[in-house]
Amino acid sequence: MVFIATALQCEAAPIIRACSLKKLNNDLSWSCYGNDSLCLFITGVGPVAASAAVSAVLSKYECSKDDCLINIGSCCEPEGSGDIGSIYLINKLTDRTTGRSFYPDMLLRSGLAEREIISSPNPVGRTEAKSFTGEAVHKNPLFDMEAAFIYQAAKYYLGPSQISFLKIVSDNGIALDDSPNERQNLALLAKRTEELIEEKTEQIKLYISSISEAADDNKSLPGYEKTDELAADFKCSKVMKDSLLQLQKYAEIAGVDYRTVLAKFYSEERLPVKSKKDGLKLLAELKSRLLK
Amino acid sequence: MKAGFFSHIYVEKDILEAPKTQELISRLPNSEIIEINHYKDVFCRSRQDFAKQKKSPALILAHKKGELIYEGAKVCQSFGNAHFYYTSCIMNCVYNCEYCYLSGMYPSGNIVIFMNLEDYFEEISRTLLKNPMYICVSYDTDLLALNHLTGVLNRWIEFVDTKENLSIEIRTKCGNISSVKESLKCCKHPERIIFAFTVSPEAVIERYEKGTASLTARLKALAELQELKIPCRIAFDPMIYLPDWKPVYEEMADIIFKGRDNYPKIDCNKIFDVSIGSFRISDTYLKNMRRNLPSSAITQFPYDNDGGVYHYPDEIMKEMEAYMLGRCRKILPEDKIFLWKEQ
Repeated sequence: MVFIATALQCEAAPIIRACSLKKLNNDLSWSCYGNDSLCLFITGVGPVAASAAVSAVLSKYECSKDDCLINIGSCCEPEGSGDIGSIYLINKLTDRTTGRSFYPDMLLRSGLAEREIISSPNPVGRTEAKSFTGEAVHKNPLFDMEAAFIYQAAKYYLGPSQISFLKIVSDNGIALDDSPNERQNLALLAKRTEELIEEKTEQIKLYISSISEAADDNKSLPGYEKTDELAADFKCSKVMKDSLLQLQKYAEIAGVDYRTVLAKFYSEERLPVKSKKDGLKLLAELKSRLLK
Repeated sequence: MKAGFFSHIYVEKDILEAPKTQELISRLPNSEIIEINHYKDVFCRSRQDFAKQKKSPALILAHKKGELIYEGAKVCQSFGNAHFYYTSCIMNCVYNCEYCYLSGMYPSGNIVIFMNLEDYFEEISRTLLKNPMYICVSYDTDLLALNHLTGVLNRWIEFVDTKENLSIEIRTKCGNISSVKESLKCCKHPERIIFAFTVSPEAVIERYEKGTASLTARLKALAELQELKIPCRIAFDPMIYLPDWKPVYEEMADIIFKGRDNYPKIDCNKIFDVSIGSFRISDTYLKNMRRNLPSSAITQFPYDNDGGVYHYPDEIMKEMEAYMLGRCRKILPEDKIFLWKEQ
């Protein structure tokens, strides 16, 4: 499953339309949309909402090493001029509150330009943002309010190769903090953000598709359904059962035909065994035959 | 599509502007450079996917602090050297051998290069005042395989030449010595630089030693080094079990000891020594390896556990090692054959 986290409805809407996602009915406090392979959820703005939503969704869907999470959203680029609408893959995230940085693995060639981002709990004004860019460790960063917090919450569930961030520049640090018409500005920014993400849906879909393919490489090994039955026939202790399972695993992977040997044991009525001692002997014989 | 080797270079901010760092970065002009505070911020993250990272490893450039040279571990072959040490100026390997203990030891498949080699040399110089040293410099990596990029091996070779009582072992599965050839030609004490080639049958190389040089290429490199009067060790270690291991290892032994058309001929009289050992691994490492490589016949083999070390069942282990021991005894005197046993 590919999980997609967006902070706002206006960031989610173009992706919901492009991927034909349907509203999911679950008992979560966050809106979720999905299909067979995607689950998009809208976190809300800021660190607490983002962390809580990520944690809730990844727990609810019992994410595993076959899954991944993409945070898609808007960001500001205070140093930029004319970069509005550009899409970036994020290679470094810094939590502004602690100064700690995080690094998602960059294992795929996406074709997207890469940038680093600083996440702040509050909107960062243009002047304030510029103060970061002078620091040696931050090269012309982007700013948002969720990415680094999403990473920190997600890393309890997923590894760094399973978490990625796509950010679209929506502004150059609009001075929300000193505007008299803040609400109006926000509404305009939401509309503009939706349009900008809409323009990038093909690139976003391509990225989601490449992430899904990479996740497929990672599928877990199937279980061995008859191990319990077989272990009972060998009268296995816990340690013997582990040995039997290990032998089965190896034989499957190495292409060693253990089923014929077992079938012979059954046909000769050596299985099921009469005692644990007999089981131990027969298990040793099985191992010896398979590793000739 | 995978990102490819070293598509990203993470560099500790304190060494970013250092000339040697910049020189290395300039050799990888298409890589994305990401500044970091400390190499562990990337290398030691939790839940890393070692197997995926090995396919597209990133490079991490760092400054190593603390202890730089370690006394040899018990599980390592000392080859009779009383003062046996090892060091890791690079962590992790460009090759991707399925049986490699590094996948059980390190949390990451990315490669760390410690750029302060001069600090290693200083520490060695201090120790050399007390006793001679035999140092394995290429244990947790393959220095030769990365040398075209790092030049680290050339610096080691030059350093050894300036110090009496210092010998180094360079363990490798690389088949290209062009990056060190000139340094070796200029070397006044080639006898103190030991190249140890781990050799395996082609069937093992193809299945389990991804990215490494073929047996032919390794033997060619070994033969070239012999011509330069460099002592060359052959490591039949680890020997890897295959259902048909005997004919496969027999063929390899024939190629090495008897020679065969289309294979480089090595001078058996000039073999420095050989080491023999079947695959064994600590239980902690194997546990990690089974998690990292769940579909590998090597990691999922039903090994026996003896005191925390997994090895092939005694019958297989003894037969494999005895076979190779027998082949070596026909060619080499006893004092040049080292059979691995736990100290």
